[in-house]
Amino acid sequence: MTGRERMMTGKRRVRNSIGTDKRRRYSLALITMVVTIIIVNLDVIAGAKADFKTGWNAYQNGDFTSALKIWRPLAEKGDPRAQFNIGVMFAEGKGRAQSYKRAVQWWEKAAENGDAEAQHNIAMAYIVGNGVEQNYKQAVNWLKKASNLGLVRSQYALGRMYDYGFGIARDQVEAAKYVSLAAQKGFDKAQYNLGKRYRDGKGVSRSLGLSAKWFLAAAEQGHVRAQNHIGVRLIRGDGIEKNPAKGLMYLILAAEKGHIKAAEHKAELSADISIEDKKMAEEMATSWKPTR
Amino acid sequence: MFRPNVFIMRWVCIAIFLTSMHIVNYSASAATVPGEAKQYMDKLATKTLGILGNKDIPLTEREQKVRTLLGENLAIEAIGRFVVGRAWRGASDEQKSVYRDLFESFITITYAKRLGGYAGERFTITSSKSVGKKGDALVTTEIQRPSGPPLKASWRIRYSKGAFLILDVMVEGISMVVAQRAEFTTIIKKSGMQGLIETLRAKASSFGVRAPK
Repeated sequence: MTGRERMMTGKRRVRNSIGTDKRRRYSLALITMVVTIIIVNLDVIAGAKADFKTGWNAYQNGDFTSALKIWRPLAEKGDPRAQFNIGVMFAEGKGRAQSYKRAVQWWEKAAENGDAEAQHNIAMAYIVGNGVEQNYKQAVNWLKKASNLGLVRSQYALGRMYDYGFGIARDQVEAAKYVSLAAQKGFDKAQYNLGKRYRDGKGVSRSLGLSAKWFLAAAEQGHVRAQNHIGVRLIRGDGIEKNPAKGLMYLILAAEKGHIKAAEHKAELSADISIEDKKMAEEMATSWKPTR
Repeated sequence: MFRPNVFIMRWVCIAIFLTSMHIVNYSASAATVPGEAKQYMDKLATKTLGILGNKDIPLTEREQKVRTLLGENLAIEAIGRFVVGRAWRGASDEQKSVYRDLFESFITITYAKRLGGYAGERFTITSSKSVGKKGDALVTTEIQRPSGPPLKASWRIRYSKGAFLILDVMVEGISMVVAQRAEFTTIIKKSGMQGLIETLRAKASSFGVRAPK
């Protein structure tokens, strides 16, 4: 290597080392900036959480004015939880005079931020005509949005809209589809509805076995009408393995809750049930607890 | 649609709650004795307002407790049938069964949530007298408001099967049950009994305030 070449290599090394230093400094600055942003954001989130909780505590103490005062700035900054809760407070007349119109306005803000429960409440407002002109079509639109976000109550409600042709063309297959979605996620009302659908072949192929399966699922959660249905089925072995003691237990539970038909079925069917099974049914009814 | 103000409604709820609870140690009698109804309300007022004013219990829990008590003690079956009028006869057995459940939810949720707004107002019983052919008691109360003149409300109570049950509340001469019937009749005329059922279902299905995670 000539002297000139050596000199050039040296210069290049110096230039490279300067470049590396610069890059290091830039990287360091960038990392510092990102970390700062994360920390600031975490602080903001933590602060918002704390404020939301403070508002919740005030609400639980019945101090609605303070709850509103705390939640309002959060809501105005776009927090959907605060927007949603303020809407509920207007709907229930807590902290402010009752105004469904204002409630819907707040829920709309939360709904725009992707809040499924707010979307559901708007749909309900359209069904009832609270704060908005009653409009089943609008209700269906909002229910579809909330259903797409996986909200079980909305899926079930949408199924019912299809069932009765409220705001949408009557379609039992679509109705069964949405009811089934909610039933599979454990919503007892949907499970009971699906039980009836399989019993009657409404939107689905008739199946006594599947009907019993869904009645039982709802009954286990304490759905009184489902308890009446499955009670009779278990005693008769209708679409499900015969189990008089368990069947009578469900009739006892439903009758205790004031279900008139269940009381009648209990009186009618008790005659064919053995003393042992009756005793067992009463014992099971005493210690029975819903699964959810 | 009749929409009484929040203050009136809150007191309607408190009175419904107070007068609809079970009475024990009562002999079976056909008519409701006005003096006993008055005494009962007086005793319950102290007890119930104490519970409602107990801030140690979270609001949602207070509302749930009130809801359960209302469900056990209100004349829900009678009120529920009255407010749908003639539509009851045309309803199918399934509709009747669903309506019973939904009406109970509607009335208990509505009143329990309004009761949750209790802010320590005071009320006094001014009179109690017999009314109607069935010998119901009409208990009149005065509610002292933080501002404005006292509010007068009368509660029609029937003693039946060992319990006092509230049948109606009249606030400043307006019957709440009649007002409810007018509202329901409008819905039934427009969308039938199923429309009313879906309306009640919608009211019961709305989400309440959300807790922090």
